[in-house]
Amino acid sequence: MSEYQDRSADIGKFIVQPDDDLIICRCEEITKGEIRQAVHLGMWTMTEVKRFLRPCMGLCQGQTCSKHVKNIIARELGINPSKLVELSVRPPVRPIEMHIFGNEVETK
Amino acid sequence: MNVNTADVIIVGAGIAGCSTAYYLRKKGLSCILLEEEMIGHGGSSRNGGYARQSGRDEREIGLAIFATQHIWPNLSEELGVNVEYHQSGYLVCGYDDAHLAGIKNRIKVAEKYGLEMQLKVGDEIKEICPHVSDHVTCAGWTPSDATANPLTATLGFYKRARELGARFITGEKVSKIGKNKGRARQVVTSRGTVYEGDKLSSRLGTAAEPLSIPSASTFRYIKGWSTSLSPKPPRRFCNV
Repeated sequence: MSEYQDRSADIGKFIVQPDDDLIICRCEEITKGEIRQAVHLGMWTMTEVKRFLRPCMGLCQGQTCSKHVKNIIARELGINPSKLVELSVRPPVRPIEMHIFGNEVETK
Repeated sequence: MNVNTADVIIVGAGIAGCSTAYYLRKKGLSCILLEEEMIGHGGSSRNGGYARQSGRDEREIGLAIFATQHIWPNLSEELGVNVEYHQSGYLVCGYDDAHLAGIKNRIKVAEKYGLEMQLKVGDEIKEICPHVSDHVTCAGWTPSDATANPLTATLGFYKRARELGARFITGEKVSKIGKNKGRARQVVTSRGTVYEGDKLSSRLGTAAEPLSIPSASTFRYIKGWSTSLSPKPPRRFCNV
């Protein structure tokens, strides 16, 4: 069970920041402003932000940006980043090219 | 008035719960939505995203056709979120006589509801999907079936419902359904909070089984339209 959250609780208004154009997720080209906006639209967990905007779903599978995404969400909600649940890690942890799968030999 | 009171208490924040909240708010009814995990935690984020009409339980087909004609095509604009809806058609493949009989049966049911579904055999299948396996000998083709992104659709309904004033509470595990004046009106959570509504709506989907219901006879069992209907009805309740 996850932690109690009343999603109608006031987290303040979305205020534009000078570095909102900064790209946080390089694979999917998601900016800081987009992530902050998503939090204000109700995406209060890492997984919800991921599913809503696709950060951490690109080639690097969040190895570069997941920490940044987490910190941005936590700051926007005014909570400690450790309160946010990490994204599920799904193998393969590193991307594998299809030809490696293609050479797979069936053994009985 | 108690803050934990609303016209409708919805249990479960998957696509069914979030869309229920959205359409209730559009009608002007207040609602509180309770979710144990997070928005779209269960079946709503663990499916292939087929918005299909064919091959369903007969009781669902009418609703699915309505959704395909009237809900899905404009949903992205309505919610302000790209739900990636593509009416790409749906091909159900088979390779033996049992499959062929099954597909023919699906077509018969589809025809009954005025849904266009064709039987394709041999090379006709490759014309629709050139990459299909050579083992496939028969297929049912429904051109009006579609796919959508279940993640953004669920979160889109959530986003719009929240904007319209629906109250969403996550991390609330429902432990009991309580009665008031002989009707199921209360939802008691594991933290001891009591939510009370004029109506209760269960949108639990695959998570319905573990919820203990005090007296089954007081509820009219219904089946959620968002999940496939199984011949054996899952334990689900609703008095809406």
